[in-house]
Amino acid sequence: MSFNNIYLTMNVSHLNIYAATIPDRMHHLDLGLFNYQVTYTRELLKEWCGQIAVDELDNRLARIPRFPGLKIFKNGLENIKRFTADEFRNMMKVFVFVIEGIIKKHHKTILSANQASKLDAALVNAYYLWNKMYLYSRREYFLESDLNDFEVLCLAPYVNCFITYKILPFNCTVYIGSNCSMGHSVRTTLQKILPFRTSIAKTA
Amino acid sequence: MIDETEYSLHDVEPTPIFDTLDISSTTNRPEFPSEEFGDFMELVTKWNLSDACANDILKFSRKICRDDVKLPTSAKQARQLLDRINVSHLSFKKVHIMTYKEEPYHLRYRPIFDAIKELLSNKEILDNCTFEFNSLSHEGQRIYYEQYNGEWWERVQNSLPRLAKVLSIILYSDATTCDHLGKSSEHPVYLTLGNIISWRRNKPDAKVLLGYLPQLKAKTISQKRSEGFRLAKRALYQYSLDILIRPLLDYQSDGFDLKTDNDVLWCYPFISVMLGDLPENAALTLTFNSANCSHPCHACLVEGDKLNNAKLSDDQIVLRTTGTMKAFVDQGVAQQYSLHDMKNIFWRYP
Repeated sequence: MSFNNIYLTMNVSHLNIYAATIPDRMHHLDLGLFNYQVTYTRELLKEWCGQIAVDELDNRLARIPRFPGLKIFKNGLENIKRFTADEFRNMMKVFVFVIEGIIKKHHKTILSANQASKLDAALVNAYYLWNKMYLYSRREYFLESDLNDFEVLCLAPYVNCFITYKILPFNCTVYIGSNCSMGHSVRTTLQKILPFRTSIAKTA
Repeated sequence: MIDETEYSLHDVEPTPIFDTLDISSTTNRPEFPSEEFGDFMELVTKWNLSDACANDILKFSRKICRDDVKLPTSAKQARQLLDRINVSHLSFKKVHIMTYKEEPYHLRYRPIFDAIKELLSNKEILDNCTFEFNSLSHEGQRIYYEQYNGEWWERVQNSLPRLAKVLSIILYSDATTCDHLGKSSEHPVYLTLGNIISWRRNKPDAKVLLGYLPQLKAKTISQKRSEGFRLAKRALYQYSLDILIRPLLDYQSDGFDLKTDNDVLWCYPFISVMLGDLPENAALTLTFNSANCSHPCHACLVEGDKLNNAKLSDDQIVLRTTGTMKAFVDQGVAQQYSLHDMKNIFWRYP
């Protein structure tokens, strides 16, 4: 017994509560960041294109033909405040296609056609990369190189979309597993690999 | 200034210390009026049969069985009986833990090992458990699959005597509204184990309820905004969790024996992950929960305005650790690091 005691007191605590505490994916991604990203996109469209673009977005969402297992937003995003994680997940499936071309079609005259199509492409790209990252977060296992790929192939370009084109006032926490917690348990890594802080995004 | 006398914490009686946690199937069967009765109930639970289906089976069984065999009259009656049976590790208790402005607050909970016992008594879950670290690799690269393939587990296992196993405890809590109007809400804490393989852990029955945390109520809005109320709220939250997980401290030096059907495992319990949404995370780590404070992240010390910088290098990201946070509180500079000036209960856990 005494041997055990000595053995254990030699080691410091394994519980670092600051690293062990992690946001769960549903709150973090579905209800937090994606929610924020969509809400902000709507505001952005309003600023660059006016209400007509927001209506177009709602319209496009409503006009998607029925498909088994896919939720259709008949009333557009009117009730976004009451949406559940499931609804946001359904939105992710279609948003890349829904968003494309809206700015090009409806942009105000202060934007040149060239600028508008650039912004449009950046916005689509942001949603595309988001989906890619989301899928990453649902992987069952990670290689060490996967964690690196995530940073280089998804996260960095995603951030660039925002910085270059100022699409979102990007005030989310951006650092990933390798910085923050690689080497923690894989479950932790799985959550920590995701770069953002929900509430920070909400208040940005 | 903060009025310290606004609340007082009350001690609870400690849970008895045991040597062996028995999860073998023979001892944990509740007492039924007859053996057949028990077998029937096991069948119903195992296949999750509806009452209609169970009644038909009963009808059939009665036709073919001897007269002296005692079976329930109906599935409903059997279920009612099952509810009445007192299984010691399933019962919750309610204790008075805090008085705030003469108002008592109660914590409803059960001992953490009873919850673990309930979880592991499920044979199918136990079969999907791993208690030892194993390292996976692919072409020289490490694969992170389950918790027990990770580096945390490796470190923990290496700090234990040989043959000892790791029991990784995951706690999850979130305030939940109980009706559609949002008028009543509860704050449950669930427990699951990192030992369970994830596809199994993701099923609903692989989590067990540990307790309900009390929620501090304010009479007026101005009281709700007062510093004293917030302090009491944080103290209540931390203290409740402390009571829930306190039994773990008794086993940090010697562990305990987990008796299964055909084996005895020597386990050391560890808390590995605390899951929650952002306000929850802030309450656990006692960091400020406003996004506008100088260091809003509960895990690192990156300043709020630098959090959107993807080009920060590793050495620019300073992580919060028990040691440094303790030092900040001791030196009285906690506020500068967006930390509440309070001792965090998790500092003393292994």
